[in-house]
Amino acid sequence: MTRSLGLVCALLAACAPQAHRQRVYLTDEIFDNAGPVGPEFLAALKRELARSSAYELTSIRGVPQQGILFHLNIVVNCQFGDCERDGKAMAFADIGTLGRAAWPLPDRWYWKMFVVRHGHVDQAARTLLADAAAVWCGMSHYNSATAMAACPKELLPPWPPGFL
Amino acid sequence: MSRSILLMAALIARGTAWCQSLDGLEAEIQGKQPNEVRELIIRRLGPPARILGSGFRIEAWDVDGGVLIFHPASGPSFEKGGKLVWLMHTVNPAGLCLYGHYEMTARPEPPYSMKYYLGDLYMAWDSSYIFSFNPARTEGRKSQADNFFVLHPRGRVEVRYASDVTAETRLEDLPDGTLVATLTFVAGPSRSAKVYQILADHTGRMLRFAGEPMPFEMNKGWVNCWR
Repeated sequence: MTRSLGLVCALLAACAPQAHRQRVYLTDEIFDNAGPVGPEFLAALKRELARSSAYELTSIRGVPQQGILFHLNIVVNCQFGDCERDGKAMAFADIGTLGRAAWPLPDRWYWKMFVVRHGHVDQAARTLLADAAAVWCGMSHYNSATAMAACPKELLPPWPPGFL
Repeated sequence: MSRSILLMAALIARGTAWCQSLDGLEAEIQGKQPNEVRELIIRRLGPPARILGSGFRIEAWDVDGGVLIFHPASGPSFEKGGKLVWLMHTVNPAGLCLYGHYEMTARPEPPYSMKYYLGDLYMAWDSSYIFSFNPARTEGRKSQADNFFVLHPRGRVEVRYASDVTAETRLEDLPDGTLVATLTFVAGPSRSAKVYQILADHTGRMLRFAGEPMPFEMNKGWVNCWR
């Protein structure tokens, strides 16, 4: 009886509709001069992606011929001062898509630029992912003003205040 | 005898030049990755005649009476007689290219037509905009007293496509100077507004701001150079 119940539960679980998780291809270039905060931020971002019910990390070789793949390219390097000592570095996130509305290199080498700080990498990763979701939503619905208007707001400014 | 050898050498050399043609290359490179395209060009034409540019390794070959250029970001192009042809067949929908980063420069100033960098405009997908003014160059700043974006660095933007253009329209199909969209920028609390046109620039693979009076130039590249 218990075994039958277990079997039914397993079958129900297998047949239950699975939430569609958008595949995200993550690439990175973490410069040594960024100090430990670079790898820390990347690890935090991978954790957030793994935890997310909306996304799944994927690996690819080449640009997919069909469908859209979200692409996140992260560069962390030291722009000012001694980043290892200061525990902060500059992150450049290229938020793009591969596939129909393809890439692989956009008109700029970053979409969002922000500071990552030691001890705050989890929050930075969460904010970036939420911001990327807003950008991806806009990119996916660029042909419908109504759908685009329903997209979430971008959280990150394009560059840190006073940077340019 | 030696004349015959010279003649044969000349013929062989000429024959080699004939082999170095772009015939069929454009069709062959479609759908390929940048490194695959580069390898195909080298296989066909040999090592590049020149390395151009900085930052990127931009390679050039003299072929078919023109110059073939391989740019790892912008893609391959062929220039002959002042006419530039981009070799990858791309799809750049107007609506996709409209948002993102624009670069603003002052209008070219005599005597050397210098265009001073003034700042960046970012048009977010949520229809907000933010402008960052670069005050480093006082030469450029003097002429920007009435620059709307300097006066109003944040606000919202309303996009209205031209009558025969939609968000899906391929920019590849629009000749230079075609009106793509009209943008109305409305600054935050002051509600000041300014209208600009966005024009197609097929040759430069850009979108350009237009409107009078405009003390600056502003443009943004297409998003997709390879597909």
